[in-house]
Amino acid sequence: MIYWQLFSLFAHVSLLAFGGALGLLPEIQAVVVDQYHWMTADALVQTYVVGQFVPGPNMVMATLVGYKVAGFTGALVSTLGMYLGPVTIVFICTALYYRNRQKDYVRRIELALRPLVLGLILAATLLFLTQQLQADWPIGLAIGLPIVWLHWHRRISAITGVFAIGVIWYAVV
Amino acid sequence: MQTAATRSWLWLNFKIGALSVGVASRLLMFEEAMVRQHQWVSADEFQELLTLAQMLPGPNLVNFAACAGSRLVPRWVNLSALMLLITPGALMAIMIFAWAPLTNPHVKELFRGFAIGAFLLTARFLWTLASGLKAGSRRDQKESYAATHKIIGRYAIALALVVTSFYHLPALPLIGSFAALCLAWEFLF
Repeated sequence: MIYWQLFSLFAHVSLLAFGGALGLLPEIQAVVVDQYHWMTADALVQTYVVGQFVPGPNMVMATLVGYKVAGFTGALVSTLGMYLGPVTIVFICTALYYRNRQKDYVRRIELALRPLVLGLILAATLLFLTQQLQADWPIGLAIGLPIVWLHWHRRISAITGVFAIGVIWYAVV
Repeated sequence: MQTAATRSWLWLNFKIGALSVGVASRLLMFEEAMVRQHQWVSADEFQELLTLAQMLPGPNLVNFAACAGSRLVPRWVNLSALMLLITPGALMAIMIFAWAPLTNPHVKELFRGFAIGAFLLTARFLWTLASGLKAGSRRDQKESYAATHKIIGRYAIALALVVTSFYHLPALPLIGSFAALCLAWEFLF
């Protein structure tokens, strides 16, 4: 029963996830914290924070909620619930898209929606950057900008840059 | 455009699944490998795949990997790659959640540094996305540009979305209304 509840919760919220995970928090909280009392609101936020720091998709929060509620099996069914629906939809839509890709109106719809994609990614980046930097933004920029410059001019890869900024930040702050 | 080699696609997904830090840096790593390193797709097609992935419900990164994988590799390779993308982070998260001293200030500060690095390094990726707003609808021409008023309108919509996002409005109506605005601008003006 609990496995089905976990699966259906994340299958449901994953289909509402347009433009990022942050918007799903209230929906998940309503079920996990308020309805079933599986965990506290603080513990739920902690799963979200861990999800931001580990590699891979940031919706790893689903896995953690499942793990907290029902161990490894819970983690597995929650993860399946989170990804099964969207991946199926993506497979179908991508096949349809590439079948009709050469049509003029399809290209125009894709071009039309580009500002939306840029806006969503830029907004998420700025939002999280301001949250992380807070009052330390001059130090953050002083450490980060030279490394961004090196990456921009293809001297270092993105992952080297991320780790370099992380380690220097840890040493300085 | 080329077809991605199976082994390279699996390795790329595993690398991102096991090593990437920060939300947008994961897409940046895809872009770096697909467009710059292997040249499996052009910058324009990368943006096309990204737009398609963003418009569909679900986690952005997995949607993008599934979209790109559908374009580049056979279905079974795509599914295996998705598992390689998802599993390492999920296992690490369980280990961290169960054992790591997340409240330890040293651990928190190190993670904070990685997150700041990841967000700052998206600058070049965002620049590429912004350049893509100039594209015109002619697929047969390598450098096709839209009319100036259309380009200005696209930038204005993206900027308005960024500003509006800071008011924490519900995601679905916000994205829906901006999608409608984008389509209206493209087709009516």
